[in-house]
Amino acid sequence: MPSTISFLLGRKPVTIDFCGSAAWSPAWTLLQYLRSLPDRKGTKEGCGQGDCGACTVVLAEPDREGRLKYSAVNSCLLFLPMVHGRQVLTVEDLKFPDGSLHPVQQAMIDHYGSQCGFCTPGVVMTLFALFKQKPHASAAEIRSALAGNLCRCTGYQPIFRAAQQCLALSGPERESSEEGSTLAELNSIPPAEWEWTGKSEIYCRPKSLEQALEMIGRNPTLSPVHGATDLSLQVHLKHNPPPGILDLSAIPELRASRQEKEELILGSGMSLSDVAGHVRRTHPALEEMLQRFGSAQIRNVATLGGNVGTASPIGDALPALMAYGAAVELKSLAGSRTVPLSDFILGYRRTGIAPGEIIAAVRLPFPPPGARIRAYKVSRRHDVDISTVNGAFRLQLDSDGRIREARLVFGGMSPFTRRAAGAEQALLGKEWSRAAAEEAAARLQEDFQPISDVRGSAGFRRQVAANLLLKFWSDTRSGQAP
Amino acid sequence: MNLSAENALYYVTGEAAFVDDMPEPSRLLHGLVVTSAEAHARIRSFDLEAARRLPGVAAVLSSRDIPGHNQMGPVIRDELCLAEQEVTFAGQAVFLIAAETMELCRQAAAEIRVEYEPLPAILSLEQAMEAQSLLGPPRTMCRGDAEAGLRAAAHRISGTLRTGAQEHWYLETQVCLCVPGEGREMTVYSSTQHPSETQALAAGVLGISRNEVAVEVKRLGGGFGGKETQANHTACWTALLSRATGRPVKIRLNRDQDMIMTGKRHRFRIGYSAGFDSDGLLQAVRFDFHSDGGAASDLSFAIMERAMLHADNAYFVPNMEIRASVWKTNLPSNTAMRGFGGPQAMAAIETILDRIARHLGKDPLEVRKRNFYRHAPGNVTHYGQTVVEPPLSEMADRLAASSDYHTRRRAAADFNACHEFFRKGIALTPVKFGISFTTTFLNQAGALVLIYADGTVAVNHGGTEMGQGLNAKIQAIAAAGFGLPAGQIKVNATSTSRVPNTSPTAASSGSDLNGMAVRNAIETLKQRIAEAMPAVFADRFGGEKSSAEDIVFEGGCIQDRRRPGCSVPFSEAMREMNLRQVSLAASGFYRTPDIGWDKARGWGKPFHYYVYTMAVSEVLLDLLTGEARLLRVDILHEGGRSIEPGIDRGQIEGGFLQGVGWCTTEEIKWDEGGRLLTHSPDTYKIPTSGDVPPVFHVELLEGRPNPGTVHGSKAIGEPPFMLGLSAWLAIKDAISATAGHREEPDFDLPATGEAILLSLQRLKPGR
Ligand SMILES: Cc1cc2nc3c(=O)[nH]c(=O)nc-3n(C[C@H](O)[C@H](O)[C@H](O)COP(=O)(O)OP(=O)(O)OC[C@H]3O[C@@H](n4cnc5c(N)ncnc54)[C@H](O)[C@@H]3O)c2cc1C
Ligand code: FES
Ligand code: FES
Repeated sequence: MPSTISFLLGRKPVTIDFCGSAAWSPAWTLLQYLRSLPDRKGTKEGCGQGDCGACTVVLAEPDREGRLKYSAVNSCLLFLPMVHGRQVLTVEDLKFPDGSLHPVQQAMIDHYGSQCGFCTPGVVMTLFALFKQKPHASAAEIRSALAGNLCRCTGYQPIFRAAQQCLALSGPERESSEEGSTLAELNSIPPAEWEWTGKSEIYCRPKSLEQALEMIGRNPTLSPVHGATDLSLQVHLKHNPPPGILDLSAIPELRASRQEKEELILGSGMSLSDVAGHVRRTHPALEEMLQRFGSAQIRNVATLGGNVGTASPIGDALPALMAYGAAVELKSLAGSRTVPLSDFILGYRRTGIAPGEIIAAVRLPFPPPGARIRAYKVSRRHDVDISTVNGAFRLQLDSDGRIREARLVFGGMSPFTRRAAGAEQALLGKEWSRAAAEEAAARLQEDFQPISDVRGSAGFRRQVAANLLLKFWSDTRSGQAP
Repeated sequence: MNLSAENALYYVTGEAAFVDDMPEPSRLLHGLVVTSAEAHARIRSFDLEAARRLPGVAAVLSSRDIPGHNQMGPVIRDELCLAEQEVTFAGQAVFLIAAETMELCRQAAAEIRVEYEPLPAILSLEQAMEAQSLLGPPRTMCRGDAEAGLRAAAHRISGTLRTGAQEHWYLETQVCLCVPGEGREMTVYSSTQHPSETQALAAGVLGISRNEVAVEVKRLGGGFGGKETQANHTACWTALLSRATGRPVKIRLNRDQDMIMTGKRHRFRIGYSAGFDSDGLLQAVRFDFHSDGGAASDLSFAIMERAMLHADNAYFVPNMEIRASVWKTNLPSNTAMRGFGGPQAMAAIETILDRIARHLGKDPLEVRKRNFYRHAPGNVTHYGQTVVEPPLSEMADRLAASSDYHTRRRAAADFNACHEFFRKGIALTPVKFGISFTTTFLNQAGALVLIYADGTVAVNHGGTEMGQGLNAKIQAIAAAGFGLPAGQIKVNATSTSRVPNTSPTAASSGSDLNGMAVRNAIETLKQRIAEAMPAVFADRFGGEKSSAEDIVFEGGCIQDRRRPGCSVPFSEAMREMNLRQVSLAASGFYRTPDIGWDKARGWGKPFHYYVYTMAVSEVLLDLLTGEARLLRVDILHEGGRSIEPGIDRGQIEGGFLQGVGWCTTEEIKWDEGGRLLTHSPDTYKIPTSGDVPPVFHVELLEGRPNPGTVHGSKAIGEPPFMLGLSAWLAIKDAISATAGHREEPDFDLPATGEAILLSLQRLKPGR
């Protein structure tokens, strides 16, 4: 059976059949593929693990309104089959057919945006995506978009100036005419579904949920992936691939969301950027947390399902999801079940998922009016860093101002994200005062026995966790917006 | 005009080729370095046979397979290319593998059997000091009588400061491609800051002579000192594999390998005592500098020397004593990094100034100004060099005014009075940085300038382009010299075949030295051409004979300035020169004049001149999380007459942020076995765009041409790095505000969130 993917590389249609190819395996990253081509050496590897952005390329695909949507992604993390049906744009594609420079490129020259130039192709692609998607980006949005592009030379200031110049220029564009034909070409690529067995690994690419369930039902050792921002490191950095990969990234229903009366149902394959857009009004603490999740490139591909699936003790979405009372919807050939997230996460990188099951969605209830909810992340660097400690807290007060319900969820304090039972208990029935916050903070010492590691000592973790409750009090005390 | 535009064009279109982007030669093999996981161990035995037998594996080498010397120490020959009986740090190269693919290399590595017998390892400065594990003899530098000065002073403070290591984090990791030629010839494409040394060491391990090795460097994806000596390693390993297989070999370290295997900025432990009067005027300072050299010398002694020479920073210290020791530990050999010892020393003297201000209840800026170098006799450094007309006070005043320093300090105090969980802090710190290699003979450069008969020019020089804009500056110098548009000048890749015996591109000296050498070559050519031009003019225009002195190169033409109309386009003139058998190639050479440094006595004039720069930083500190955010930074930089202000501004902004990283988020940690814990960008955090202050002003002080350099310019690379200290001291200011600026916070470098929180806790009343 052919195992074929088709995509546009710049303006050129490309088809790869992994079965017929000794050269390429589907577990290759997009970056490995690009750098194997003699004319695509512009895209660089600076770290091979999603942290530096030197490998940034832009993926274009039709959005819900049928327009092309451009996202900057780390090509070093993406498995090659994930570009099926999309357009891959690299730094070599930006010049106009007449040879003139794209405004983004010109601005980088005008403002000395390159010094050694090694980060430049990635920076250019990040700016290109911004130029396409957010031409009116504010200074803060420009910074945030660039946080995933490390530059050791310029101090970023020249790049900001370049960004401002080219965004100011983004008017009627020469590319628009081409976009129509690109859309048509992309739309003409049919969804592909196949299973591929290599020397030591298996790669399965279903195009529907039923197929996915059928594949994993047959072979429960498959690891489901969406964005691969976690799994790809296991394969390419740790050289410890799972027995097989079940690539869910092409299943439309997993990337959709819907709203019911009491809750939002977020497909497990929705990217975090997408999720952030959906929950901005309804679940601001989650949205705020997602703003500090990885980089724009990571958020464009990483998913909620993946974050829950890792069950990492410092998963950033988890505390907020638990504070909002989220539940996980699991599906298998046998049917479907829904488990509260706090019951689903069982231990260090361990969930209650059963063989043959996948996470299909996250159900996120709307918080009741008056709930005080905040989420916090403490990391050594403000952007693109893993939490040392994170937390999300929620209080419900009675009409007389006493605490009726408390949820204090911490990550980084124990082998998995969980609630602080003792501290919560200490709050019940109390007025929301500084004394109450301090009392709860004191109880954390029994709730958690954190470890010391490279990100921080146990003492630091304890201190910060306690301080976060004080911060929560300071941010939500009477007089502050709930 | 944006002179770097031409280079930048290749960067923004992706055309610029770094070593790993070069078209791969046929039959290319990939190389992998197998390293020690032990910090210190005897190699009892090893077996490479299984690895060698794997199909697709072309070579597996140990130290026994080195045809030449097993040595890559750049100054002192104490650094093995591959470990022999013993490994002395985790990450040390032990074996080399070349195979058809990287995957095969990894498989072969898994087949290698080694038996290590662990030995006790020295992993901290304290352990090294206890074991008296020195890399070389300690050194002392003094002026006056520090002991007596300290005794006589009205006030005294003393303490210990620790500064952390720093990873260079050039975006392009170490990489080398070797292509064997006829006989013993080897062409080495390396990302090195020091092509001549790379050539010498590669020749050394191969056991061949230097004229058989050509090193070529087109550009580096960042260096920052990390490729001054340590690019040699990757080059030597690649050359060995290429020799052993007779095939082209490429080694590119991946990020984690690079971080694990290469040295860092030296961590320092500095003991200090300072005596001063009630106005805060320094009377005496004594320093004990201890640096962690790692397992081999590398450049540690030169780095320590520069630290000693910057222990004064911008301040006159009448009595000074500096004792310095470089300690040997079981860690990768630490190496050059931007600032080269200067940052560590400045952190110490700035700590003293900061403490004096707190001790006396004065504004730190006032105390700094009081101690600046001034007129004689307060203008002579502790090593005897006169600081000529230091602009320090004017700069401080100007910067204080333009940055609203005093108003903002008051505003910060008001803010601090009414916020419980936040504090603001502000600090202004100066930098006076000496330009020249303190290893005097290195202050030389060569160039080879070629003019072709069509009037285009190719410039070759010994410096390497690594983002500092060297080639753009060289192009500008050549264009100005010949009166040609920049487009007619091409700067070639650096090659040991064209310019021999060069110095590293380091010590901020790249354009000073190479620019002068290029200019000298151009002068030679112009002289030759000027002598031949009168005959050309006579043939073309007749009339009286021109004289060579009147020939000028301007506007793309060569003219007689006394005879209007007597002018020939440069390109035509060059065709004429060729026909008239005039040589159009010239080499240039330059050595820095007027410097002289008596290393043994620690006295003399080691520096050609000084660069001055200053910054004010303001931070907001979250007392609950320990998170510090830069709110605003103002920099005033005195850089002579800039050849290209756009490049210099970029160097300042970039250097500053790198300095901020060293002072705040960049923390290197090892485990108890001496293995690097922070070996990836996941755990080692250099600044991102989010760490740039939202308000960031950079002003270049204009109109002070620097005598004795190309076009009156000044070096730019390193000095701004040390401005990061202003952010560090602003954080300290904010911490100290929690105790009413009365007590001295415990405060080392880097100020991570954890360090800040700890420091805050120790200041809490009732502890
Ligand atoms: C540079 C970088 C920065 C990062 N920053 C952050 C950060 O700030 N905060 C943070 O929390 N994390 C961070 N991460 C980790 C990672 O991005 C997140 O955990 C992300 O949410 C994973 O999503 P994904 O879709 O990419 O997961 P994948 O890699 O696709 O999958 C992750 C795991 O979940 C399992 N899984 C995925 N989908 C399903 C499913 N449908 N059903 C069952 N199991 C499933 C997989 O088998 C795998 O074990 C970062 C990673 C990188 C590389
Ligand atoms: S190479 Fe660094 S993010 Fe991909
Ligand atoms: S220009 Fe060198 S890393 Fe950005």
